[in-house]
Amino acid sequence: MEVSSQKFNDHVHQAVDDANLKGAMGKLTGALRPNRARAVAGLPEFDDYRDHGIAIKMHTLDHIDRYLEEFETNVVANGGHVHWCADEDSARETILGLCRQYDVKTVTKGKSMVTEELGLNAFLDQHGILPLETDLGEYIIQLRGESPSHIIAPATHLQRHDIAQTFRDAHDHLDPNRPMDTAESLTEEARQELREKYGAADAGITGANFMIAETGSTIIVTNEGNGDLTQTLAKTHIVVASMEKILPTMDDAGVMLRLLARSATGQDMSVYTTLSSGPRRPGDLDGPDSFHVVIVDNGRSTMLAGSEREMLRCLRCSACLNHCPVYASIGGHAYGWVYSGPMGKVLTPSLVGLEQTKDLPNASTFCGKCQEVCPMRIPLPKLMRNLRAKQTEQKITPLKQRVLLALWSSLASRPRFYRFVTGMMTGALARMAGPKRVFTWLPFLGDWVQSRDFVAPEGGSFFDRYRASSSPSSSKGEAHD
Amino acid sequence: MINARNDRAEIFARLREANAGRQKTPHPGAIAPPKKGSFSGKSRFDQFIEAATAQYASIAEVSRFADIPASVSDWLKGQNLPRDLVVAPILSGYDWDQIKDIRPRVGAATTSDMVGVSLALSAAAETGTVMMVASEHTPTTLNFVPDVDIIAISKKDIEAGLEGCWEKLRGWKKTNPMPRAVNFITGPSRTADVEATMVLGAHGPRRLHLILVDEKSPWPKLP
Amino acid sequence: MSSSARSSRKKPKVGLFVTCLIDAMRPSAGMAALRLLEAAGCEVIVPESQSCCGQPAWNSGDKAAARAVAIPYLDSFDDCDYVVVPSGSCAGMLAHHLVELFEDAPDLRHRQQALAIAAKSHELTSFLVDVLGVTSVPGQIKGRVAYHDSCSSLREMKVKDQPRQLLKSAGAQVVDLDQADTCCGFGGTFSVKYGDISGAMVDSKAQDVEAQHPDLLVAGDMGCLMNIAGRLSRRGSLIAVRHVAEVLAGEMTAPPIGAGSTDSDTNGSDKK
Repeated sequence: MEVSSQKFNDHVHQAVDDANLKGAMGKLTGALRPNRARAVAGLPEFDDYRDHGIAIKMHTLDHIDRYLEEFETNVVANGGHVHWCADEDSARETILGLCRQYDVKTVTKGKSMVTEELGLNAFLDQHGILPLETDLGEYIIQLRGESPSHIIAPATHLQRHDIAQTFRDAHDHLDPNRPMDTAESLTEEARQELREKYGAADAGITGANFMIAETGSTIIVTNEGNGDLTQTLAKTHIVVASMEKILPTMDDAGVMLRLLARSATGQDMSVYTTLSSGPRRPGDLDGPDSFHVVIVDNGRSTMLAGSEREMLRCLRCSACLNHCPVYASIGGHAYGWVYSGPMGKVLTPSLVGLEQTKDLPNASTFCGKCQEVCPMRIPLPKLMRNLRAKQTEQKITPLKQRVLLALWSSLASRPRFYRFVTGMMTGALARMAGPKRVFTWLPFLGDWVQSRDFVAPEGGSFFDRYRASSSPSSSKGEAHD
Repeated sequence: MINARNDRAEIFARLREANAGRQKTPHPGAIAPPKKGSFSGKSRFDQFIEAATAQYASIAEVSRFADIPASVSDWLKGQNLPRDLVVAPILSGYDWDQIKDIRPRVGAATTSDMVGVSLALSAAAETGTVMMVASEHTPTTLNFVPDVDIIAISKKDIEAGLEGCWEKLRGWKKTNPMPRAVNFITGPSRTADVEATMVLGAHGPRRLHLILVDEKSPWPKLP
Repeated sequence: MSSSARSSRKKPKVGLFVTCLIDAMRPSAGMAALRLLEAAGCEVIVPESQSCCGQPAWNSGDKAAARAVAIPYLDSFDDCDYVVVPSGSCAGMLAHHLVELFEDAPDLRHRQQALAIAAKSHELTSFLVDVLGVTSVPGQIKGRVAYHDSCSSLREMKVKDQPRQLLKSAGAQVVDLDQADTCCGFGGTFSVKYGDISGAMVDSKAQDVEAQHPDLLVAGDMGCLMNIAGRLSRRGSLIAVRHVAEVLAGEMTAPPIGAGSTDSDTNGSDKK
């Protein structure tokens, strides 16, 4: 998918004034934050499971080659095939090659963020293959020609009336006076539209929340049933999975499953958790004839070797997005790529490079809420700070900022002189402000005063008062530099 | 050749290099199931009912598998639901023909089928979840295509939590291939993609009805 | 006023880390913190060789600049039992990040000093309650006092109940914001680099404050206070804003932060 993170500031500028987006985000956070809290409170052992899950993931990453090999052996033993793709070109070509091999004209798709990375739908389209998204949120944004704005609820930026308008335009064979004002009626309409499409598709493409080495299985965790219809009714089942999804055993998957749905939507278990392990077996009355797992690297091995290794623990639950006040203010499209929110601020630069994503690691207050709710305790603020450090090293940080910081630090590393300078400035400001005690405008602080007054300083330095005070310690004359 | 490139060697070289010389994290082993996933006896059964009901499944109880056709018929009638059913082969041997007003056929489901009836291999009381396997006895489509999904489960097959389900699967694999699909199902399908509002009945079944049977299940004996 | 009869008879020796924002913007809050600590039975020194904890440079990813700013204070607190900071974010810098900042520093002494400071750094209110066992304070205040938790206080320094307990002991009716654990949008340079986003976040916070109809808003972090007071003022709100140290120390003669009305402060400048 094309990167537009370079336009972050423009996107943000639009987004903060978008009342429709604000309403939509309010609904998302209003539902998912209390849901998660309730689910976590309902499992007293949640923190133990987090610790255990983290150890499983880090162990798996340490031995990832071994587990991927075991996975491949078992997929093949089950009658399936595994394809290895180092980058997005390779992955696209592989999937296209499979479509050619099986004479695929139409493809149904379950939700898969890694296929968004690949820009798969546009690519297939260009090659005369019709992809049809079946997850409700993905279906809606496909009709609108938009990209997902949330990793599990792709249409989160839309309100009901937006979706109704989209359906009105796209489903023009239906009665224009039909009821379309409830979530129920819109869901029902999508259900009916897609009903026959699963069986008519030549191939079904799904993603993978996890892969299990022990059994050669890929797992999808869903609620709608479209992922299962996609993979069961088409003749060919293609799974596209990024390689860090691998886990050793079913029990390890069980640990992750106790964390995933609770962190994502607040469910103890999603409606459908499905292990797919190959094509139909002799005697089966349904299921695809062939099963192909396309394993994608696309930058993960670089992360494994580098300082972003911990990010590979990510379960793609979206808890960080749902709790991030920055994400809530600007929505997912502002981030300019597949992954948004706090995880996107680390993953996007890690996968597509720092040059195009300058703002992403910087647009954070490091409030730490993301890390607090992350089931894998990923230290997202620390990882963002590391990326900021890389930007400094590689001189990607704008010159003006580097110069200002250098000036400030050369001043602040000389405390007495620093206080002399700041004392003078604040004294002047205090006098200027007078009785009003705030400034509605100040030079160089345009970005502050656009939305806030700037409080006037009291004037002078703390140390002036301290020395003049009757404090016992000040009269002792503690002074050393 | 699907793709002229074969990146396998390249990828594995990078992975091995990334991990070379690292202090390895040991696997932490097993973790005790949570309290909610550790019940036995009546508590386990009560937990299953509570959890499944909370997820909008409806529940009926019968003593024997032979009672299923009548139970299904009564329930469909009471709910004013269609009477055409598609039944899993493993449940086809019961006296469906003796029950008036239902029209069963045996096999996989198509989009014309409104009601599917199948049998679970296992279940997890912790979350009110049933575990289905794709097999000659139990086609997967029965659980996803029809509007109404009816699943029978022997009470003896209800485990405390997922751990028991994994063990059941390992037992299955000793004498069968790994099932093409293993479906853990908790309630009817749903979505919250429109304004984060939950709507029951998305693309999968709108209704899930569980029939709990006192008797041992008709699954072929597992090791 | 009472403080716990802790084991040692000698007074705990506390080094006050003033913080750059208090030094520049609100020295009276620093003085209040000093008085509060003295009233709790501490001997307080304020080393002159301190300007800023180094957080702005550290968070920007400029390790070299951060070290340069931190080095002047690294040895200033050598003979203090504790380093106490009237700011959750600066306390977090000292307690949690200083060690990482100097972890591969060329000078071994710096690494050791960083470790020493980290081990004995505390946010002000948590120091009073968790270390000294303070249960009452010089200040007295009536009325609705809303307390804003700074993110660093909450998440890095585990400060939540302590300031509320002390405020209650001073007579306040402490009220919580609905979205108490949501960031106010300050984030240091974030507030000017991403002014749009910061403005949206602080507006939410200001509305959350207004919804509680407090007489006074307090917090333990000057950055949050400047940010929220600035937005309240822009919204035409008259809610008074103060640093928690001022209220607890009973030093409320200085006008509130920003434009808040001194009339809406509850009468609380008398010490017990």
